[in-house]
Amino acid sequence: MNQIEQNCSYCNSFSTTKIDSYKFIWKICSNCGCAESYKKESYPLDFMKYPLSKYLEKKSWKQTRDRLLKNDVVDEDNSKIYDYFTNENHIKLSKEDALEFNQNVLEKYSIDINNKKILDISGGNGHFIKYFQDKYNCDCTLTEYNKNALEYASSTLNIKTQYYDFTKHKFTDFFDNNQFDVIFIRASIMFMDDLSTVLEDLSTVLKDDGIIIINYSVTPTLGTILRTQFDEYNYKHLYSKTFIVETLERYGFNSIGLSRNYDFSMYINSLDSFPMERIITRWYELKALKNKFIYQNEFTARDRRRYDMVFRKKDSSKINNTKYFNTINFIDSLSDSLNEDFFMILDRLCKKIDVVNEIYIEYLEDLSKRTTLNTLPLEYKLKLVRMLFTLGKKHEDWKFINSALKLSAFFPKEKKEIEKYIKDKNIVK
Amino acid sequence: MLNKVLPFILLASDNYATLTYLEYLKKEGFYFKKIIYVNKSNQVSIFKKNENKDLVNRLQDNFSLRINYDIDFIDYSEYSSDIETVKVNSDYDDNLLKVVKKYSSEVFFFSYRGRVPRPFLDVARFIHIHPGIMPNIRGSDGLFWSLLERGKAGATMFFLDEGIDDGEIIFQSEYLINDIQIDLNKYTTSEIYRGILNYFDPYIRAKVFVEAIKQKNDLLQTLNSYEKVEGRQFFTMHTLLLEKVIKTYFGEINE
Repeated sequence: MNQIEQNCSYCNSFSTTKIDSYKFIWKICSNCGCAESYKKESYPLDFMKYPLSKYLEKKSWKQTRDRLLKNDVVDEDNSKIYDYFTNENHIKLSKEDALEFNQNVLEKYSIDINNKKILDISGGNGHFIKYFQDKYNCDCTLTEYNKNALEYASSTLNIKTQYYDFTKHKFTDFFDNNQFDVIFIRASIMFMDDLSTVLEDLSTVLKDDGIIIINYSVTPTLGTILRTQFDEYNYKHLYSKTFIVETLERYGFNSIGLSRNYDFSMYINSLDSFPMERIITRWYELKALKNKFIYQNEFTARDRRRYDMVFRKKDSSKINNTKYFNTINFIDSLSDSLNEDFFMILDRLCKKIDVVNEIYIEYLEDLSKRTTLNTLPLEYKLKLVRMLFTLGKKHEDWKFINSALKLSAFFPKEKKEIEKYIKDKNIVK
Repeated sequence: MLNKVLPFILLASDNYATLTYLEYLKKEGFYFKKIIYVNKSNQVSIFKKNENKDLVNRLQDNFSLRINYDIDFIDYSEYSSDIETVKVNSDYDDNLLKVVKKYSSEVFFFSYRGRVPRPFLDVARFIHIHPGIMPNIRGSDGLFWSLLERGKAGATMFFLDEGIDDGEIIFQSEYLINDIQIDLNKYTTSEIYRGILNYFDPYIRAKVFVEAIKQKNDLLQTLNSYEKVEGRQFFTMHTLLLEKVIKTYFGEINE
């Protein structure tokens, strides 16, 4: 594992903290509410690979052993952990999921999929989408990462399938533009590395007015972090609902439904039935709770909570002409000579520094509202500090100097320079 | 000595500004026609007893009035014969809105909390005094920004509008600060800052209020030249800049 950067991978904010767990470190961000996992190179019992663990063969220890030790299978091909998709139990669960989804999402939000073309991303063994293919006469395509499941769906259920790896492929590599009416992203958004790129890609293969349904988007909670800490292969990204909604809105979608549900089978206390896991879980739980940061947002929840979200793609011909303000472009265009328009914009950016305590990359044109959770990169914050200070000195503008000083917290050299200026300056009028 | 009933209903909570207004006006012989005291459930006293007496005295040296802030709650009966208490659970709940609606034909003098929400502004007019010359100095830490930007402590009496320190101006005035000398080594910046906000800033505002009463025939008449100008909104001053202002205007430079 490389050194974990302080800034958030999703929004650039430095308001992050790291939460330790048995096999993973999580970096959670209070600005965008997202969390990212980093697998540890080593953890307490990782030296005890399976050959050494024969001493733990007693039945009562077996399950704990399998979870606490290192599983080399995942290192070879992590898609193999999903081989259970074709187990009898999982097939039963997939069929039940389809019934629940029909009632809790399609019927709830009045989504008509009769005779529609549907893409089911990471559709597993195919029984889920088969239900809708039969019930609503849909034209369904399934993508999947696990080859066993893919083969099963294709040969046993006669469903159109496509092997798909989020880390390697693009949907536009396999599908035509404006091809699908509805796209299901079920329990898989947590593995999408670059949400913006994936959404842009999906938006291309989705028809205008088409629907994207994100089902089971797991949100960052302490319960999830602890409950998954023994897994060899874990969620990579836990996106907050705000982040997902704002990202989709940026790519031309309107949110038409959002609901939260809980997965009680993943409640943290279910680990208590295994003594060793109970001790380890309590240890990491206490460590996490000592960090005040965790008390923000929903992080302290002990359950695994997740969101269902429904979005409709705007008709590209009807997308409004909302104008945006791009902070990076503005900073790049700044010069020492300050015209009135620039002055007004800088004055408004001071409010972001002073009140919001953060500057975002994009706002509505009048800077009244941010349109993204992506914060300004550090190098641009530095440019802004320098510009505010230069203009503040030139025009004896204390508001600019005040904001430059506040923003200079990350830049010791500039901070020192501003402090010296204030100290030496005679302010008597 | 004048003895005049002001044409306003005071909308008040227990705070330093309310007590200062009431004491200052009483000394000058002015009274509100009515006081509506907003009592929040589980309210505790905000007055800090036995707070740095010397600092409080120094800050009040500029004024010919010493106020006793060593109290738990304000006894409003000393300042008006018509007092109505409104119990609220949150700052601007329906109970308060009902009372304001009942007196919607009156003008309220605002010495309460936070920003007045739109539904309240829709049913009545509120006058407020902001520590700064509007529209140039709007927003937080008005007194300190006034000193830094204009070298004077100023305040503006105006009709509240929805924006921050925004509305038609009735009266404004500003003053030089010459005679305050605080031993800066004796107190922390935070103590001095809080002291100025609690024991000095309200005096400036009360002084402007009394000046307006004395100078204006019609207290509801706004300045003719009023034109909606955005001006500049200031925000919390950085501690380092704050120290500089305090040192310059309240500290050793005057010694």
